[in-house]
Amino acid sequence: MTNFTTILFDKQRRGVLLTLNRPAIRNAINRRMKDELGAALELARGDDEIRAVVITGAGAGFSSGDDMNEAGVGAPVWPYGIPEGSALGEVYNQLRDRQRQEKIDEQLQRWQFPKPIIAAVHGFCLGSASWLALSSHLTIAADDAVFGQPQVRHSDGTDFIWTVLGKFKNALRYGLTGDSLDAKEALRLRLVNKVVLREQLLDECFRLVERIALVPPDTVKINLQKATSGYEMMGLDKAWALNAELSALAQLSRREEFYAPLEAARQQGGWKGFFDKRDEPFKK
Amino acid sequence: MADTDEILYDKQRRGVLITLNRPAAMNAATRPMLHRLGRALDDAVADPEVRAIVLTGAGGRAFSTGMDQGGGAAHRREMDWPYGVRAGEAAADFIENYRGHEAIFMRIFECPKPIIGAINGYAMGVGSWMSLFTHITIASENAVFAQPEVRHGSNTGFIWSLLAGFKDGLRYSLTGDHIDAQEALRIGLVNQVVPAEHLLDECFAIVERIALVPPETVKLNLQLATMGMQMMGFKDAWTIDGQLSAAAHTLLREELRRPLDEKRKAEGTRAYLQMRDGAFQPEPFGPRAGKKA
Repeated sequence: MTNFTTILFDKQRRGVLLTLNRPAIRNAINRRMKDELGAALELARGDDEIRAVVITGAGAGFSSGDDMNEAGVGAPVWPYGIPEGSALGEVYNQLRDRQRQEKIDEQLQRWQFPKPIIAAVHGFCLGSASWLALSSHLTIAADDAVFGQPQVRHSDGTDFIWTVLGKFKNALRYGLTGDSLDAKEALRLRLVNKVVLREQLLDECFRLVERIALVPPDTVKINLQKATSGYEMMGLDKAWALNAELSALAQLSRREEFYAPLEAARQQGGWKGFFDKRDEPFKK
Repeated sequence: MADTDEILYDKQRRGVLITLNRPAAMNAATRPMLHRLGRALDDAVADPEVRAIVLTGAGGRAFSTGMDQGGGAAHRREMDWPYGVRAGEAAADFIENYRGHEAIFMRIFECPKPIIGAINGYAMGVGSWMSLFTHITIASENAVFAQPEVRHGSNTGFIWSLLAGFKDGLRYSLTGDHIDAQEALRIGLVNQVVPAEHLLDECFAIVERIALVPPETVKLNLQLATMGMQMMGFKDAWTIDGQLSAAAHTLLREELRRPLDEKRKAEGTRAYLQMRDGAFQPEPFGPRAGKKA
């Protein structure tokens, strides 16, 4: 189907399976994948045979989150943590524009999508991948699923969807530390609807698609809208707009003593060196 | 307040038991019944001896199965196809009419005395909303909650999303699937599940406990919670809920709805419901599901 290179688009059982497909780098989400996901949803929107969308990841997990090779705005120079020769205002603008595109143009659009989106999560589901999974209308997790926002450990933002679903205290418990949690804890926090065995994950999701397909499409659309616009009336779209600003600020607030050692580790050992350095104190 | 045939009003144990009383129709709601419920609440609010209200359904099988799909046929007008509106009624009229329909629920929510829902069986559609808008909800073990009306092109209520959260609210709203009392407890629709024979006693034990607190304090603390929810946007959410409900009812498609209407006309309500729900049975989370799924 069409010429997607980072995702797969596979119609089946009254719906479509969208697979994040960069398994060699843990389905890391780059700009191209975000664009293709948007384009795939537009195809699904216009196709009357597709009653609901299932999103999953190829290989060992759902996705490890944003592709770090595209993160940030260039090598930081200290003490300001921004690239050589740039001004804070300029960098902030750049970061917030990207954040607004992701939270408002893409995530809120997906939230308002007129057909149910079901995330089928297995394995790791981290950072922006957790936002994709949790802001889907329904989320089914395999028993091996792991959710987390470890990017806070290198001064990056979280997403308010965790607070909406997991509530204030639970979301903060995990959001402040970047600690990950397993499928069972995700069910307890109500981040997911249900936990199933890994091998039953897609079948479970498509059984749900088929059940939804028994209800008239206009009714599904309106009832989906009732839930999503209800949350918007209660302020979710505003919360996400603020979220975009604060995430840009989080990225701009890097301190030399925290970030410079990570950057040094990366130059020596690549991204693996960076993550090892970053996560090592949390493993005690 | 005089008892009417559709609403019973029975003062007891520092409170009042208000009973939805159409047991032959599993307490299906009619407009007059909802109107009388509003008047009964007014009476309870005006009576200083009544410290809290318990709301239940007569007959032991159902709290309320929702808007009457059968008996009200006298005022059920033929649909004008392919427009999907009743003959002689403009969509704009319907939208205007619908504005009042959701008022009873906010009236329950805003009631200045605590209302405890005693959910003793099926609570479907409008019946589920009445249960969930009460301030405290106690379910008997045989309670079943669902919004099966989505299957004939009707709407859900945002109160499910508010209480159950986004994902669990949607899981059951999109399909109309039934859930049993334990699942209702898990997702936060009810406070407690008790054996059917203890349901009313449990509710009045709470009434008596509430009656130990000064009435002004109860009123203020009730307002603190309900107005807090409204300040956080629940009132706006419920307003758009009403608009979308009107839209849901004016967006009926001929190929989906007409066969159901014709079935009901020819063979009655039971055949209509069987045609509507057949493809969804067995209900995966209902009390007869055998707890798999």
